[in-house]
Order: sequence, then structure tokens, then C-alpha cells
Amino acid sequence: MNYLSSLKYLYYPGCTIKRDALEYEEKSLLLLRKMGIELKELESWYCCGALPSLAIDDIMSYVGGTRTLIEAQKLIRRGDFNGLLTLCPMCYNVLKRINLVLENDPDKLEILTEYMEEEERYGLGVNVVHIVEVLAGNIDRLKEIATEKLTEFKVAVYYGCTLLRPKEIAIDDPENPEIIENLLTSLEVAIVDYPFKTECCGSYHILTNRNIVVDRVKRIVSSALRRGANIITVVCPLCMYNLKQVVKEGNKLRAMYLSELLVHLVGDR
Amino acid sequence: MVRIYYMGKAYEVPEGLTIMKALEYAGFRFIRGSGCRGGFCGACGVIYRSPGEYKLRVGLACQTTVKDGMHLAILPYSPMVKPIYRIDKLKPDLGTILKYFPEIVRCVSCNSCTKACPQDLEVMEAIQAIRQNDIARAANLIFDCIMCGLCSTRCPADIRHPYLFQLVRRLYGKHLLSRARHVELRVKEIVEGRWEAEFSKLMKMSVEELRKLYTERKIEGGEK
Repeated sequence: MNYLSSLKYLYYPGCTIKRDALEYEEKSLLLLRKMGIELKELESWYCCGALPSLAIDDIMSYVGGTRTLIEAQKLIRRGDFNGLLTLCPMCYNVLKRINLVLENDPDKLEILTEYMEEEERYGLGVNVVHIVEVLAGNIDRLKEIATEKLTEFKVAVYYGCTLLRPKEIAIDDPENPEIIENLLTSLEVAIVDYPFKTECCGSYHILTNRNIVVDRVKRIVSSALRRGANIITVVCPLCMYNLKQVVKEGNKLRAMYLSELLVHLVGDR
Repeated sequence: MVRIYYMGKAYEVPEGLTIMKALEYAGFRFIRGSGCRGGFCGACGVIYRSPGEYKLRVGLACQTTVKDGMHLAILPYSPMVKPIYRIDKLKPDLGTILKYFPEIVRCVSCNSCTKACPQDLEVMEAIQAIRQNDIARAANLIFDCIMCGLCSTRCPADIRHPYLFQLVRRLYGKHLLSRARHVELRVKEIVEGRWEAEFSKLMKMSVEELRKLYTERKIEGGEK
């Protein structure tokens, strides 16, 4: 995991970040800058598709993501970048899975290369990382700049699905992830353990049947509350949107992006 | 002479002609699907296949030359419903565009639109820029769109590019570009009647006098 301590990354924001999660982007970029981690946003990037298609012959749905990976490949060749950083776990999941599919199935890569005749061939090997991995790989830098104490915070970590499943692309143990807890504990933030941290929030069911999401989120949130949490921290814009169906402004429990939580710790100047 | 197939029927036409001229040579008369004949108005879309090529290509009939054995049809219009809006009431962001053109989220980045564009615009980049909520970048990318609609005929996501891009340019021009101060000043002068005397003097002049005045005019800082 040594590559994670590299300090220069390409950055793939994703569509949701640019419209519905601007504050997540703002806090994340601020945090990384303060940690001395340099980001360069891709000059051109394409919608990842938000959900990886599971049909084995649906190669069309890989095109957007592969174009993004090729764009990253071009910049990595010219500059000293160690990977492509994502904030949105959906983007992370899709790009990482495209890498996996193309590595394991050369025929698909061949078909895509033929189809995208105007593009150079994707040579695999673009290292897609999520901001959580970069934060966890650079705890020392965080410790150095952490000036505030968050003694009043009792944090329940909510991972959601897409950073952890399928296990081939998981950033940590998909059954019992601890990467964010370990990060926060080493920064002396109090953690609340609860059993629903990898439970699905209901995801896109919010569009067709809100009740599915509300029921699931209530279960997650009430468990965190019962265990004494006053913050539930998330890393995914869709999880955040769904949690906010239940967690409202002024509630005992606040939903907060991990980046925002850490910005509280290091000060926002 | 080369042989072309217009809607399946063979015609012998001279080599080197544009598709438009070749069809006129063959006896057709354009009532619609023809405009500036200079590649700028977007009226004369054409769709064709060449022998030995599996690809269906598109172009402008006034800009594409005939090739021996080519099969073609004229495609001057891509049917699409035009949305009606009040531009001054709209916010220049992705939300507005999704309201009128929700189909843009179906873009799979196949790039068929870019390959179809007779203006060589980065059409797919523009669609993606819109999705990234960067209206200004999108507007600049598609500034030269001639609204021929050929991209829309090739789009698997059924995006209505001509009207979409028109909205993007309007949002950019109305809400994002800074106002041209000098134009506002001049309009104010005109409304206040500052140039009335000058105009009525001009209106009374003979053609000869006007011509002399025009040829002897000073341009760009030439006056005292």
C-alpha cells in the first residue's frame, strides 16, 4: 500500500459532485491541500454511468468510464501522478470495476479499443483510489495539522455499499471495515460502534419508492443514536441525500461528510 | 462520370461535384433541404454509405463530394419537439437544462455525435460539460453549431442537440456573459435622440452623396 503515500493525484470529480455535492468537494479539496496533497482535475472527463452494468455483454456502459481512464493514462504519461482520485464512491466503484473487467477479459478491451477508434488504447494500470484510502495512507500528515479537539463529537461511521462491494475492489474488509474508524481514532475522535455501518441506504430506490429508503435509513440512524452517536459521517453523496430524508437540521444526530469532519479537526483556514 | 444511388436509384453524374450539385445535375430541384450552399446554414444534411465501407456516414450535401458507388439519402431535418421557455426566467445551470432535456443523462460517451458533426465540434465534450454543470464551457464548445441535427440522428441517447445547444447558448449569453457596456451606452444615445439630426441629414441625401460619404469615411480612429 506504499503508493498511497504519494502526494500527487489526478482528480475525477464526477457529475454528482459538481452539482449536488459541491460542499463535499469544497471540504475535500481544502483538506487535501492542507495535507500537502496535490490534485489535478482531468481536463476532459466523462460520466461514469453511476452504476456498473452487470450484464456480461453490456460493453457500451463501459465506454464513458474507459474514456476517463484513457484521459488519465495520457496525463500520467506526461506527469508524475500515482493515481486517479475519486470522491464519490459510485465513481470509484464503476471505474475500479471497469479496470477489473478489462483486466480479466481481454476480449472486452479489444472490442472497446476497436469501437473507440479515435482514442488511444487503454493500457490498463490506471490506479483508481478513493479519498478515504489517501487519508488513511497519510494519517501522519493529518496528525501534524490537526489543531482542534472534537471532544463533543461521538461519531458513527457509515460506509454504505460501493466502497466495499464487491470484495475485489473493496478499500477494506467488506464484512467489517475499520479503515475510517482507525483513522478517526488515531486523531482522537470518539467512535461509536453499531451494527449497520455497511447496510445499504436504499440507493436509487429513492427515485421510485421513497419508503424503502426511509425504512432502511431509520434502522441505520436509530441504531447509531441508541449507541450514543451525535454525528453520522458519510463519504457518498447519495448516502447523504438518503440519510437526510430522516436526519433533519437541528436533530440530535447530524449527518456530516468525513471531509467536513476532518476540516473541523484541522481548522478551515 | 461516377454512379451514385439516390434512395436506391442509380444516376450517372460528373466526378467532383458536391452531392447537392450532382442531384441537381440528375434533374432534382431543391425546394427544401438547401440554403446557403456554403456549409454554414445546416439545411442540407445527407446520409450515405460508400462501397467497401460498413459505416453509415453523414454530412452536408453542399460540402460532400460524390464518390463512385455511394448510396445516399437527403436528411435535411431531424424531427424533435422544441421546448418553449422564457429565457430571462431561467437559471443558467444543469437543473434548468435537465428540466427541458432530461435525456442528456442517457449519454454513454459513445462519441457518435462528434463523428457526425460537419462543423468538427466536440459535441460529446459539450454534452459532458453540461452534465458537469459547466454551462460556459459547453456554450463555448458549441458556439459554431449550425443546427443541422445530424448528431441527433446518430445519438443512441436520443438527445435533441440543436435545441439543447440553443438553450445553452441563450443561457450563456443572457445570464453568464458580461454585458456589453458600449452597446448599452449607444442604445441609450439613440433612444435619447442624440443621432436624430445626423439621421435626418442622411435620409435627405441622394445616392451619389451617400456613396461619396461612404467611400471617404474614416475607419477605426481615423477621425479627429
